[in-house]
Amino acid sequence: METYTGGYTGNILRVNLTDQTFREEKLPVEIARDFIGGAGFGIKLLFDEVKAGTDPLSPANKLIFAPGPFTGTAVPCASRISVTAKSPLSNTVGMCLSGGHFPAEFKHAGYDVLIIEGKARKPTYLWIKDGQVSFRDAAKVWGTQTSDCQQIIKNDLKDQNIRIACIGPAGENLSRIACIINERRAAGRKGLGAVMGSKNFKAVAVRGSGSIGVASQEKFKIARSQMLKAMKDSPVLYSEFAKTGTPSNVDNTCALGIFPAKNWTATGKFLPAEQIGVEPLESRRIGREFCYECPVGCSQMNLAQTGPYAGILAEGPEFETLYSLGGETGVDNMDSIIAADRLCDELGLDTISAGVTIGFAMELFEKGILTLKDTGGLDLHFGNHEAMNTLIRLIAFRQGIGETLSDGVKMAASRIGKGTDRFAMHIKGLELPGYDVRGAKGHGLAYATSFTGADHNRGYAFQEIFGVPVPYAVDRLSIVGKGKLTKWNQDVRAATCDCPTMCAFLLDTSMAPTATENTAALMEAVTGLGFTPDEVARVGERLSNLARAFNVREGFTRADDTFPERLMTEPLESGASKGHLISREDLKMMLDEYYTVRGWNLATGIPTREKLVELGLGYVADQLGVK
Amino acid sequence: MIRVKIYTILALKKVLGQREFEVSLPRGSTVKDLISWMVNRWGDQLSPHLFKTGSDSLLPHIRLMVNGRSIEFLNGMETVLQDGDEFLVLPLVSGGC
Repeated sequence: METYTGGYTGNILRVNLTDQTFREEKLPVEIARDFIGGAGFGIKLLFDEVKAGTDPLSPANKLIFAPGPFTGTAVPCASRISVTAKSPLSNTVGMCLSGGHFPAEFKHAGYDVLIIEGKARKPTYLWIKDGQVSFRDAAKVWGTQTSDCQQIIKNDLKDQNIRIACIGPAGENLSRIACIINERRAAGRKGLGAVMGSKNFKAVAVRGSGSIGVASQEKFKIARSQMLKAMKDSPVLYSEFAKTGTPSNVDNTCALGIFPAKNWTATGKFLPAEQIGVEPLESRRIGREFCYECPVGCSQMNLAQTGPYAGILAEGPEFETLYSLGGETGVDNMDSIIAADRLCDELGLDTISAGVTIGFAMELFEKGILTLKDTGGLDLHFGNHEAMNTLIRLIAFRQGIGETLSDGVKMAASRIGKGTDRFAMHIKGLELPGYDVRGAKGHGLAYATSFTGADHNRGYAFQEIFGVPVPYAVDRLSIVGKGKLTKWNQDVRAATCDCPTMCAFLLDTSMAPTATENTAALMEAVTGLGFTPDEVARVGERLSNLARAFNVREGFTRADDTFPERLMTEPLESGASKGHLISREDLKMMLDEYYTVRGWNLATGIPTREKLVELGLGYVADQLGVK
Repeated sequence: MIRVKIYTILALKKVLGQREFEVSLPRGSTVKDLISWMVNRWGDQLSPHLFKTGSDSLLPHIRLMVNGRSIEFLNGMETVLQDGDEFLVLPLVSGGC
């Protein structure tokens, strides 16, 4: 009988907060083969264990942490962990990944998966040390910011090498745009911090001394050296990306006319590359951060230098934060963005959703829909960086206008009314990330069809954004062939990044041509489970279908695969994508192609029984009742 | 004569000295003509950023666009420039999360 002989610890830890019990379960080899790990395990468990219609902030929702089979080994850049729950922001699958050192420490502590169930009676954190599990009173850290929380727990447990994932005040206050922070990194999107808060669950602290064995040392050496060579051969990974990190994409997207600005009303007009792109960070950068077993170190430590922000240190801001707390809000003051980035990390807020929500409020203020009376005297004109920093705090603590905005733009528009939903930039409730898809149409299709809502990490079209010609070159301004492209981007990324929890930057910098081959070679070397590249890609397709099925079960249909009105009716007015939009007809044509290549029902967007059975998901077809 | 705006970023911006500027070219000029003009203007400083060593073949990762569209979806290096066109010359950038 087939089994894994390395990579996996073989252990699932199931924790019930309600009655403070836990038990260990064995990781079935069938699950490992069908879903690899990480997002695959999370979404499989979510589908199987969280019933349709579950309130995401109720004890019945589950929070699932899962690193990948390579995490904690010497495989480079496998240093991530997925966190999965039903999202309280979108009611879809809520899954995101975070890097740093927490994921490997978690694995070394003895587990492939942690399932959190129920709700603690009082604030609690979990302490896991080498397979020893204990529930700890979190009264002392409840209400603390994330860096304080981590430090207090380390002090209390008398070990500075403990790694911790925790929520800040935003999560405690059930903000649906709250995130989970480990070190200074975030499992950022979809409101997973609120899920933790709803369970009175402040943190999970881990420490492990175990090692993760590999199935074949000989094959491992070969597979690892091939991967390192591909990374070394990249024309951009070490020479550029390691030095400038993601902020270089501000310069790139400004050039392409797709850096969204002022709640997506001024893309192509407001081009702040000089102010908040690579150059102003050069004088503020004081160091780099490396995730576990990462030879690249793309994350930048930046120190604000001017005004009231001088002396504030942040890991970042990354590109997405420069968009959300910069372009989106019309703020071109770099130091204020560094400060706002740090503030979001400390309060446990997703920078993308927070920035987009503030940009939304600013547009309403400029239009006179929100007044000084509504904002408590806060001047919310675009570009007011002091107001932005104030508003972040109000959102996290649900104070004043922050109460209205604390659950993201969709709910804010619903609360404000007056037709403001047409200014709310989200898909399925998740705020739009930093690419104006009117000038990157395949990237747009990925947003429209992503199983988590508007998510740049579920099918990133690097062919359009960076011109990488893998699997083939595409015209970013055309809709032709984007259905096929999007399926490839979603499935290959899921299979080679999200399930094995590999760094997604590798895909566009170096590994795209050999991604499925690399994952297959590593799976065999590390776990002993033989995979062909096609079988790896199949894992991605299986995951895309299972996640889609979860959303279908929640009532989502083709009608939800759409854009905010603005993107379909207002062409970009200037810049290198001038004149472009994605009309309703464009979207219809792209969706038709996408559903066709996916084998989904054209009218409903629901996976067919034939497709689900082909992927070994017959039981899913039964649950959905599809023919 | 026609006026064409050149826009670039990052390492190429440092070579050219500015992010965007306009140049005048004879009517009927192509992308190839504009690249030649740029090489004449910036010479040895610019060439390593555009061409393979010892060759006049463009580096595979250089992106050349006219009005935002990559020239491989136009007429390649023979694409004829029009008055008012914007020419993007972008070095390889990566890391989009």
